[in-house]
Amino acid sequence: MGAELQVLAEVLKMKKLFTAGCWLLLTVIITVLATGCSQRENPAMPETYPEGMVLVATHHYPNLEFLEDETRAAFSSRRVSAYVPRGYKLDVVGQRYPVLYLLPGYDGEPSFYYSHGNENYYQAASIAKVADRLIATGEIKPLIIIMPDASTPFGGSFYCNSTLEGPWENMMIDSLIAYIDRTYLTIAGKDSRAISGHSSGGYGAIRLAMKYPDMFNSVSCIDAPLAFTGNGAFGGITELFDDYLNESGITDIPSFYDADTLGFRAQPYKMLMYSMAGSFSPSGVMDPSTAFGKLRIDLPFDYEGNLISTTWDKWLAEDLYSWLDNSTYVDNLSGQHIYFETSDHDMNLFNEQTLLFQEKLTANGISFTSAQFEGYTGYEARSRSFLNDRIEFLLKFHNQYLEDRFEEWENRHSGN
Amino acid sequence: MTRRLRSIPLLAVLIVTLCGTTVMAGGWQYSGVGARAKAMGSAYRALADDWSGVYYNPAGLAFLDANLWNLTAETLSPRPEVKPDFTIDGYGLGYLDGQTRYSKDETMLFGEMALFAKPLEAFPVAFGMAVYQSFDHNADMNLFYLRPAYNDQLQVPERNHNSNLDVINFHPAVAMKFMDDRLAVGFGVPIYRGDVFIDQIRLVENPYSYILNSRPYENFPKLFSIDGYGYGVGFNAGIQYRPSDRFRIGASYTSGVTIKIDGDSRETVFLPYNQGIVNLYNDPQTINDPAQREIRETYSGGAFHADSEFDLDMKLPSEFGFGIAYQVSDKVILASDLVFTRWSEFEDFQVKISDRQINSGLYATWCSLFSDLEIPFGWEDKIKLSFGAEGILSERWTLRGGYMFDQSPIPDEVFSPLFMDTGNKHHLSAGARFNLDESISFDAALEAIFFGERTIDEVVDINGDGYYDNFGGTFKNKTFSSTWALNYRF
Repeated sequence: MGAELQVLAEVLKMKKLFTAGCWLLLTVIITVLATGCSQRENPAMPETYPEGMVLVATHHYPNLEFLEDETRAAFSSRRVSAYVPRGYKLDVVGQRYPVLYLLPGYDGEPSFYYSHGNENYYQAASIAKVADRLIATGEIKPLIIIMPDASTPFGGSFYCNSTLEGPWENMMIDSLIAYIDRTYLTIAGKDSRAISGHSSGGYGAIRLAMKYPDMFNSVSCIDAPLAFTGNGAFGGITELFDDYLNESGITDIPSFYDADTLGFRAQPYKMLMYSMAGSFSPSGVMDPSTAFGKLRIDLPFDYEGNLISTTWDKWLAEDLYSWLDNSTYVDNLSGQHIYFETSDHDMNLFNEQTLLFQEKLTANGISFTSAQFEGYTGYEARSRSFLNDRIEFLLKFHNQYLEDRFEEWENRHSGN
Repeated sequence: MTRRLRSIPLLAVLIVTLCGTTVMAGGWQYSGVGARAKAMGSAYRALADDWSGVYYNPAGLAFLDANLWNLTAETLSPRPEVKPDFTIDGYGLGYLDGQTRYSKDETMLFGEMALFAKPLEAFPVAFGMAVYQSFDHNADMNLFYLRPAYNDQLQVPERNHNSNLDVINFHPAVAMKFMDDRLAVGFGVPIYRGDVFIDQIRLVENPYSYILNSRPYENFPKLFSIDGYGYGVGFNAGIQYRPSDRFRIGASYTSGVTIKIDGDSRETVFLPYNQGIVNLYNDPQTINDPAQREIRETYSGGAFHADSEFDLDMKLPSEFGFGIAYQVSDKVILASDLVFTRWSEFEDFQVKISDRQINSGLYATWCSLFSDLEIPFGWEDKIKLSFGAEGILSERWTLRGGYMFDQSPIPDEVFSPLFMDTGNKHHLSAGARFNLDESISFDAALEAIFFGERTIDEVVDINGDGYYDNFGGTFKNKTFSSTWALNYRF
């Protein structure tokens, strides 16, 4: 009897074990199937730009009726490139940003500032990369950077009013800034607006800051032609006259008047002289008898490099170094935050002109910040070559003074 | 009942074949076939004495003790996930960087079928045929979007990183016993049907960089879609030796095979939207100038596509496996397999395009956006190691368990969501058999596959064709499957 009970107990034990095993297996099956069959939700698509980027729009400049038809057609619709930072919204209502106007030089379209990919050390700037990095690391606050296309048939503008190249000064002050404040989420006002540039863009930045003190709160430039006259030992822009004549092979009167804009970009001195002449000394009269005469510009020197005073005086009237003799301009600049960058080597000697301009600012009691940059091992610091690196310092400088409203915005949206 | 069951096999062949053409699964090489083998971690080359021997080791078929018909259903739930970090110099290109993205979660159902005749004393040869799936992969993911610099009325399809690849085997085999049933050899000639269905965003270099060479316009996204199928023939062979009643040894070889795929393809290029550029090249004086029109249309935020035919060679790897099994007692068997897979034979997908028809006026520059496609693999030969156990509980119930370690053959330089084999895999499996009577039994197996995590920090173009060959981000995967089988012995 005892043995039978023991067998029965064993059987019951096996049955219990078996039942437990079945339940365990069923639990595993249900768990695995439930896990395997559950639906996972993908997150929503991003609504803002994942990082900063350059947008390109077209601005139609008004009030150009006084220009001849052909010229007006060339200038009335122009590209305006804008870097917008990460998080910039397309909505008309959103976080607003301070804005920096970055003016290209006479030989560069705005793409010079944002088209990256040229060869290593001699690369054009990649403004979006630089700004994104600095914003991401907290070294600067988010901002919008505007790069207008001020290129002309002669290369680029000096951002003055010219009957030949266009009234760029008025176009910038009266039209472009209003357009930008309408189109992008900028904080419209002097305290949140800065201006900067390289080469003739630097000339334009300082010029506009001197003439329109209520528009910008800070100004900077890299290697700009700020002192045409030089200071005796240094001849300023006149030092380049012979370079132009040699570059173009001009040795007599016929060859002087046989020049035109063909092959222009391979002849940097020609482009500079023509850009300045188109900006400062347009002749207003076309002389169809020569190639040069068709361009409707006057150069301030003859085929031997001798100054032609009537034309040279027109250039001097636009010389910012000379403007510092005028107390109005001195006062205007005194209220601004100013920053200069100069290279070790600039074929146009604009670095020397910039240093000369700084000396005169000091003489007039105007404070500023400046830096001279050096090249890398094996490469001397040339103004264009290192623009990509130097823009970082421009952005950091302006960041100190540009007023933002980020805190106010966050408080408003966090309910504080 | 027996008579009714006998009428089912032909119908089942049809069902399985139809299912087989559309099934999807996770992991490119399927972890195994057959409910018993899968429950034992696919450690089966020294056993292989049911229909799935045709896959593991056809010599095992020689030990069938009855004619066998099998119908198997499987559910499969792949669970891949990707967190893209696809950046160049720290900048995104349109991938959903930083978001954890899941595959479209689907549980798939498919089937296997086999019919084999046992060896007779007068004719000691087993023979028959099985239909099953040996390779497949499925990941249907939405990893890319058109950023605001593109037309906001236009978006890439949600299925923009989809890969659905299947290989179905139609596998006849024969096996024979020798030496008083201690030695057996087997041979099979699988006919492979391969299906390839891929959608993949590829970034094409902007041919208009002279207009605007800046983010986000360095590249145009192109959705590349191919859908085709083809056939190939290979062979497999095996040997099994039983030196004692308790000990068994098996080895098998499966040849590589080239499946010639052809079908239809579509390349859809999404063009950027930039009204500024459109306006700039909208000068009324020269509005009809072809060059201006081309640039205008390029930056107008449209899309155009080309329909084509394509062909490619899918080269499946050869495989050599060795297994041992030991009958611990009358009721318990232990088994282990070591398999070497020559993944290096799985060569690049060279997608050759022909008869391209473009649905739009073709500008010369746009031609550069279309090209043949090379997807480099450069995979490495790898091993699988598996262990399995089976214990008979009673006349009706048998329990099984198994484990397999499976190396990922994909180097980081070519890893992308195209094959979500994210890392070395650990397969855990368990299963049971229930004998209804002497003729009918049911098998069930559950398998969970846990993939190693992978992170790709740097995207590269290893073959220099202008396309990135891997994918930046973090990748995870796991897969669950269940297998349910009906066995009929007669």
